[in-house]
Formats: sequence, structure tokens, C-alpha cells
Amino acid sequence: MKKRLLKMLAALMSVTMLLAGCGNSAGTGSGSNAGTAESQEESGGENVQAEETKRLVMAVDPDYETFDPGRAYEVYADLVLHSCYDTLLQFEGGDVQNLVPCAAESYEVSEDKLTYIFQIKPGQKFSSGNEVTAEDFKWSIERGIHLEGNPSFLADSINSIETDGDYTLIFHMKQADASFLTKLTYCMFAAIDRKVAEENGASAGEDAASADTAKTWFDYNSAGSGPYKISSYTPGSDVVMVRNEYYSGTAPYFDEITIKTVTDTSSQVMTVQGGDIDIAVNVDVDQAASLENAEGITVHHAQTATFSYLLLNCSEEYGPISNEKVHQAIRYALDYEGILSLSAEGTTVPVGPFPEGFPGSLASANPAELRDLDKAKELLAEAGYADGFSVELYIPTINVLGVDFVTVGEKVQSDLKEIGIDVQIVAQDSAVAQEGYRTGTQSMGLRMWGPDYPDNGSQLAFLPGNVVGLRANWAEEANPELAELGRAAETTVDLEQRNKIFNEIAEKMNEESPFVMLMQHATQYITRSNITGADYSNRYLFDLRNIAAE
Amino acid sequence: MKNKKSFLKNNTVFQALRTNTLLTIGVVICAIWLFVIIFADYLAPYDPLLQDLSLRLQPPCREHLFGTDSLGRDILSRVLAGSRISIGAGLQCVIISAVAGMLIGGISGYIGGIFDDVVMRIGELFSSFPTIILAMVIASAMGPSLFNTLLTMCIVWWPNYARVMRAMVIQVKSNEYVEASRCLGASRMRIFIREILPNSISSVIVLTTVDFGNAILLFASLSYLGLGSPPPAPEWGAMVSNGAEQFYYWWVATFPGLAILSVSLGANFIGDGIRDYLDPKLRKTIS
Repeated sequence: MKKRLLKMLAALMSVTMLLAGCGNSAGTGSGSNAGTAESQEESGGENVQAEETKRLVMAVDPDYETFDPGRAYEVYADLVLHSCYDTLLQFEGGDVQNLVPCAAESYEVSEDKLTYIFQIKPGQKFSSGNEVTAEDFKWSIERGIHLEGNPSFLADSINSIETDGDYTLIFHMKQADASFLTKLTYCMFAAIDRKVAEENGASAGEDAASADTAKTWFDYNSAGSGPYKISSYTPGSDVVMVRNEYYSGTAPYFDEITIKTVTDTSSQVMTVQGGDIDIAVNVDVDQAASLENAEGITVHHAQTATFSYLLLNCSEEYGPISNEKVHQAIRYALDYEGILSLSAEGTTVPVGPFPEGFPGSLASANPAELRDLDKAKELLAEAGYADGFSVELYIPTINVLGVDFVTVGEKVQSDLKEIGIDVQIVAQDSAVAQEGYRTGTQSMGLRMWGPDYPDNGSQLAFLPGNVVGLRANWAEEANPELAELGRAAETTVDLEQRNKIFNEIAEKMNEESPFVMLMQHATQYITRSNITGADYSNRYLFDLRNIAAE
Repeated sequence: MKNKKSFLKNNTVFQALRTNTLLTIGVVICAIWLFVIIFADYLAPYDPLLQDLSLRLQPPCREHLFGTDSLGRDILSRVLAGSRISIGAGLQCVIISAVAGMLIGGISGYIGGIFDDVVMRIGELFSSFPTIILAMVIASAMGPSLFNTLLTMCIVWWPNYARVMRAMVIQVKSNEYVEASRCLGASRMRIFIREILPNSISSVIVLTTVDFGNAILLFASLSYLGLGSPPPAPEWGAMVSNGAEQFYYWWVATFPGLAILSVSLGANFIGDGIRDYLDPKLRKTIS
């Protein structure tokens, strides 16, 4: 029995060696690991940069539903989509502040901020070998708009798209949209190979929502001009991406990337320890702490843009909690240092609804200086509730990046007790709590928020009269000044001026708003120590184009 | 002295205790917990709600025998204080559903006919609901609270008692002394209360003791799901749930878990013992 097994192994080995040998001899020469675009072109797309295939394996607990760039809007989908599809502009590595050109060579914005003209780099090719033209971009974006999928709202400010020759793309806007360039990094704005897509049922017509049948094809294949293409996808198991042989930009380090679905965090950690996997994304706070000194493993801490906050209802039917002075009192009563100790290292307290790290956000507040119990009691007395009052706090029973929400609620409860507010916790299933939040019927709620796109424009939802503001029954009339500032921020395209407006809003909201920011969450992940460039990105999760190994 | 000795020898309860080790263990466990329930306030070294974040997730040590939880609260104090809620809830649930089940099942069996059919079908309807799902429905409709959870448990539990009681009543009501009482002109009410109830109650009492352990377990699993009394109440199931999220800190879930285990085990031992004691026929067939 044992012998037979050995023989089989030997046979298998020789076959693999043979195959590897073939791979090498087919190329122009092994060992040319220059890794530049030229060597790629010369070799006619053969994977011959090193003796063996350079493979990156990641373990994630993904949420992706589709890899159709016109339909996908899930957090983990960008791991795959950003690797396979080139957008006009992109963020590099973990940075979300500086946009850099990707498929575009340059762009101009008109004086009135209503026209954007992009020059597309000539000579870029899709993974089918077809050339990328402005027409492909126009077709792809129109398809995304007409599919009416989850990301379609990103294009709401576009009036029409026009091409001028093969390499000029012109956007005409309905109104000035300061977040437009950031939105362009989403794969809904990526170039799709029109010919290939249409062969597989894609349509960009007005009726695309029903006429387009390419979703299934896109789930298992890609038709982009990025450095990789999808080679196989097994739902619930893994996605494998290989090099796009026709990619003309700087070739990434890895030949092949496998993203494995491993839902259990401890198995993710174990497989990294065993060396089978290079990056484990979903790691618990305590697991990370126990690996801090492990050999061959690097624990990374990063700040996410996700934050948790208290929502205080402004409608008078919910009693004392609607009082503005009470809002301020609660803000001063909380022990932020204690609350931060409940979550991962690197968690901070944001100023206003603007996460630290976005352009225009203020640096996070010093948690030790935020608490002032005397002032809180004073404010409460001014509001006429010196003896305190009782209020219900609605909490979804969820765990946000390693932080148990009910535990946070209990901490808030004990802090507010010190100024006489008797908080009754109502822990609810997250779907039930969501319903209460949507209808604006929570007297007090503990909520989390992740920005729609990495720009403070998406955080304006917290202003009076906007989506989140209204969930706290904070109408525009309650604070017209803030509402006015919000409108200015939406349309001011000049960066410096826009950032000033955001700073002003943040400081104002820190004084007078029904939202108490508790924490901007940090996260942690582990990589094998030889992996470089694995920076956490608030846009793509990880920019796989930049990851390499030593 | 002599009298006392013979009393111990002849008293069947003590005999049962002597011959049945499991029953003895059960009685000892429950006696300890009864003591804890009564004197929890004096036994607990700290305030069970007192948070101290500088001491969060301390492993068991001399100051905190069972360690501390994620908000720095003393787990020993919480387990002791939690006995009132968790054991109390189990007790209330069993007593309420036993009384309700006894009355409904007894009357239904006594009256018989269509009334009996309808009542028993309703009972089956209730007991066919999965408890936990029903509890979640009620909790989301009326908000999670101790009262709602108890209500749910009783709704699902009473048919068990009703069924046992009904069977007993049907058996008892055909006895000759019931017939005799009727001949003497006793009213139906009097017959039910004086003749039938006392003679059919024993099996329900046995069921109650056996069920008590299960009720504590069910309550713990419902509060594990967040359907018990709202935080920060020190409820055993909720404490286990809190600890289950942080396996690295084993003590957070282990000690309340052991408390649940010991109480439900003790109650089950007593239940089995009492059943054996009251039903010598069964004991013989088992042994």
C-alpha cells in the first residue's frame, strides 16, 4: 500500500516537473525577472519571469455576490474587480487621499465643473487582445447606469457621456459633484471589453436592467484591461486570477492570485501559520494579540473608515432625549478612553461624522480630554433634568470588527448613570434594529456606519434633513446653518475650500448634533513576513496590484 | 435517641436518600443553590454591575476567583447574583405551566367529548412550535424582556402537563369512589376538586421536578440568544454568550456554564429520584 502511494507520488512529481520545464523552454529565457512592461510585451505574454509561478494565496470571509463590474458593490468584490479592470483614476496601495491616473493619461475639468475631459492612454489592451478605446468606457458606464444595480447611484450626477475620437472621453454633469473623481475609482466606471461582453449577452441600452444577461458570464470570467483576469471561480471555495497577457502597464509581482473563502477566523490564522496562505484578512483582536511575536508572521493594524455612534432622537415625542442640551451632556458624560479599550488597538474617536484619513477630516480627538462630568451635569440641569430621566437604548446584537455592541451599550449605560440618566438596553436582532432605525423610532440607538465611497461627500448624510439626519428626526429647520454648509460642500469642487467647509461642519457637529461619535474602528490582519505592500485600503480592502514578496 | 434512630430507619424519605446516591447528590446541589439564592447579596464579593475597565478580562486570581469579564466585572459575583434570575425563571416557568396545564388538562379530561378534543388539539398546536423560534417572534413583536421570555416558555410548556393530567383524570374518573361520590349527590365541581385532583396530581409533580432542570436550560439558551432580561442583568445564558465570542478568555464562559450545568444536573437527579420514590413499579422495571 505504502509503496504504491510512493510510486504514484513519484509519477506525479515527474509530471509536474515536466510541465514546469515546458513552461520555461517556451519563453524567451528563464530568470528574466525584470518585471517591466517591456519584458512582458517581448515575451508575448508568457509567464516566464521566474523559474516557477509566483502565487499569492489569501484567505477572506467574503461578501461578494457577483463579479459583474456593473452590478457589484460589495466590499470584497473590489479585491477581484480592481485587479481585473482598469478605471480612469485609481488609488494606490493603502492611500485614499491622492487619486492617480490609471487608464487615463490626463484630464481637464471645465471652469464651471460641469465638464470633465479625459485623455485615455493609447495602446492599452483587454485580456482578449482588443484595444481599449473611449467608446468602451462610454459603453461600460452607460451599461452600469442602465443596469440600475447597487452601484448605479454613483453615476447620478452624470448627464451624458460623449467620445471624441478613440482616446477622448467627455462627461457632461447635471450639477457640480465634488466626489465625482473619487467615484470614478469604482468598477462601475471601468472599461469592459464591449465585443466580448456583448457576445455573452451584455447590453448597455436603456432596458439593460432586463435585457442584459451577462451576469453569470461575468461571475466566472472577466473582460477588463487590468493586470489580471479571472481564471476560475468556485463559489464558496476560491477565485483564481492569472496575469492578463496583454496588460501594458507595470506588471504586478505575482503571476497568480488565489482568494480562498475561509469563513472561520481561527482556520484563517492556522493556515497562515502553516504556511499555506500568505494573507489572512479576518483576524480577531485577541488572535492578533497572541500572534504578535510569532515567527514568520507579521501582524498589521490599520484604521478603517467604519465608525460607531450614538443616535439621539430629536423628536419631542421621545421625551428629554430630544433636548439639544441633553445631547451635549451625553457627549461630555461618556468615558471615551474606556470605550476605546473595548476595541482593537488603533481605534480612535473621530471629530464629527468624518473619518480620520479622508481629505478634509480633522485629526481624531484625544479621548482623555473629552470627558467632563461636571459640565455634563450642569448641561443636564440647564435643560431642566437635573434629576435625570429614563431612556431606552436600542442595540443590534452584532459584532463590529471585533467589538461586541451590547458590551459597548453596557459601558454607555454605566457612564450615563453617573449623570443620572437611566438607560434601559433593548438588544435586538440586527434586522429588527435596522427597521427601528430606518423609521426613525429609536429614542436612542447604537449604530455603525461605513462610508459609501472614501470621500467625505458620502458622510454628508449625517447633516440635518439628509438620510441619516432624518433617522434621528433632525430636520433641516432644526439647524439651517449646517444644512447650508452641507449643500456648499456637495458642490464646492475646489479642494482647499471644500476641506475648510468640512472642518467647519465637523466642529459644529461636535457641538450641536444628535450624533455622538464613539469610535472609528481599527482592524487587524496577518501576512507572512515576506509579503510587502499589503496595506489596508479603505477603498479596495487591499490593492492586489501592489502586493509583492521578498 | 432511640426514637430518632428508628425514625431515620423507618422514614421512607431518608431511606430513599440512603439508597439513592444520585438523589442525595441532587439534593445537596440544590440545597447549596438555594442557600446561594437567599444569601447572594452577602456572598458576592463585589457589586455584580460594577465596571472597572482597568481590570478587564483578568484571569482567575485571588481577588477575582472566577476572573473578570470584558467590562471588568467580577464573574463570581455575577454568577452568584445571576442564580436568582436564572433559577427563579426556571422555577416560575415550571410552576406556572404546571398549574395551567393541570387545570386545563384536568377539566378537559373530566368533561370529555368535543371540548376535550378541541383543547387537546390547541395544546398540540402550541407544543408543535419550535420554542426558540416562537420566543424570537414574541421578542421581536413585544421586545425582549424577562416577562416575554417566561410567557413564551409557558406557552410552549403547558401542553406537556395538560396531556399527563388528562390521561390521569380519565383513568381516575372511572374509579368506584368517584362513582360513589356521584351517587351521594356531590356536584361535579366538588368531585373534581375533592376526588379527582388529589388522586391524579402525583404524576404531574414528578414531571415538574424532572422538567425543572430542562426549564433552566431552555431559559439559559434563550438568554444566550439575547431574549432574556436586558443587559446588564447577570444572567447565566447571556454571560456564556458573551464569553463564547472570546474563546481566548476561557473563564468568561466557563463559570456561568458550570453553574447552569450543576443546577440542571441537580434538578434532574432530584426529579429522577422522586420518580423512583413515588413509582416503585417503575423502579423495579428499571433495575
